[in-house]
Amino acid sequence: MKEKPYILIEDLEVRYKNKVVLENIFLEVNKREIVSIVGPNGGGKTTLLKVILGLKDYTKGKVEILGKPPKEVDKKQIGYLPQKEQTAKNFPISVFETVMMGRYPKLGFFKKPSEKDREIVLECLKIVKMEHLKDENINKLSGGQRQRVFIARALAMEPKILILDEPSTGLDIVAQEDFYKTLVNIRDTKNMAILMVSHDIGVVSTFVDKIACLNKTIHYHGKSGNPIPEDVLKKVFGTNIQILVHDQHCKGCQRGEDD
Amino acid sequence: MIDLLQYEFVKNALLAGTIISILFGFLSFFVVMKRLSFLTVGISHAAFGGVALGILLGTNPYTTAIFFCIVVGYLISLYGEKSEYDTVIGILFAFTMALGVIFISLKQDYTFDIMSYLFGSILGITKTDIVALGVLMSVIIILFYLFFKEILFITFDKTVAKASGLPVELFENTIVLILSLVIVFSIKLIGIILVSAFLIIPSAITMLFFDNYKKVIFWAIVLNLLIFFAGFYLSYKLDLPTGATIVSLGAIVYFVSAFFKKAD
Repeated sequence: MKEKPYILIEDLEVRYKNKVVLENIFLEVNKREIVSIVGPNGGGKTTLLKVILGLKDYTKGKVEILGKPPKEVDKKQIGYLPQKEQTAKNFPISVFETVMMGRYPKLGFFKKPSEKDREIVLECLKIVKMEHLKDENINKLSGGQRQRVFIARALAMEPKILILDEPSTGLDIVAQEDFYKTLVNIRDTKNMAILMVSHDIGVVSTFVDKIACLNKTIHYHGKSGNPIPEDVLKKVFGTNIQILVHDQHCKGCQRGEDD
Repeated sequence: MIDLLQYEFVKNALLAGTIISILFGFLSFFVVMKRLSFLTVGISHAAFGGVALGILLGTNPYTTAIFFCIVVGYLISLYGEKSEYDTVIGILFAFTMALGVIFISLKQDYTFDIMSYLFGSILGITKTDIVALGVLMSVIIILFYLFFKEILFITFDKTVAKASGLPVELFENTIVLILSLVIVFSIKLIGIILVSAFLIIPSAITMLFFDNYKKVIFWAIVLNLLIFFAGFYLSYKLDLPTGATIVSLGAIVYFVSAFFKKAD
């Protein structure tokens, strides 16, 4: 029997006041799958993530996260990395302690971290290759290293879904590649579903399983305009791509209204 | 200074000062990290409107001050989300001071010392104040001890803490309530105008020297106690107002530390 998708969205519509910002959205993210949503600024990427996280109401359609409506899902099942790092500036804390924070919601009130929690934190740091810097102050790290620490913190919650909003912003090409390789490693070792939004379609396409283009609605290649044969796609972009979007067939990729 | 201890009011002031120094040293880390410095200025100045209202109505000025501080704290949270925090605080802080001036002008028989509210007066501290401060400190310590890891997460990264299901709004409302209470209870010792400095300076100094929050908090408490006792002693020796001497000393220590730290 096919396992239920971790994220299932059907015919979604979202409005801000009376303005439709998302419509006709169909999206499926399964276990062990990395899906990237690309699209212009103002295209509704962050709004879609807010709906999935239960932070924004929708007007029509069906949204199921791990089989439940977004507001009823156990928040600890979803690891989240926001678009802009909104941590307190110059917070005096080590890498290890930062990742340990990911355990706090899981531990619940009144409980102190145990030896097992410390082991989980170390394992998460190992996955993102930051173990050697565990005692370093996070303010001394580079942008790419900090991103990896925050991924480790999300992993420490042992979620089933990882949601990343523009994770590669501010990283150079080398750091981006490292970062995406880490995500692939997480997908394979932790059996997680990873959904990320990005305005970049360069490096990301090499590492993800599906790409969808979002501008008010989702446009997949092969679903709008002339379909691109899958074997051609595989030849050009490798076997790890199922659907590729964002070429001349992608009618949705005009610039957003807010640009 | 030992000979001073024979006076009851000195003992009371030192006890109250010790409690306030520990509390403020501890809370200053969260004030500095959550960028609440200007919020504490807003809340403390609101106390003036409250004190004046109490005097006008002939009730205990501190009760009305607590009420004013909490209302202003919540108005800042409410309207700050909609526009800019600085703007809302700037307006409310002037508004509550203005209200205070109006209330005082309405009071015909003008027999109280407004300076002691604005700049503190150690003579006014009673045993009851010390008991109240002691209870307040115990409640705050228990709360922070029980929920320290959650408070730390929310202080560090509010967005992710909220997405992980932690009660961020509850914490933020509680911190406004706590700050309102500690500010009102400290007015007698330090005064409305000076109290917020005492909530900012300790961690602003220790942040310069330590890169771990545990050390920052611990040394902020120690440093605050040292500044309080040194300031108290200086004010006695030089015959200067106590609250103003303590705050000035703290500010000088901050600027000297920042200067030398920069030269490093």
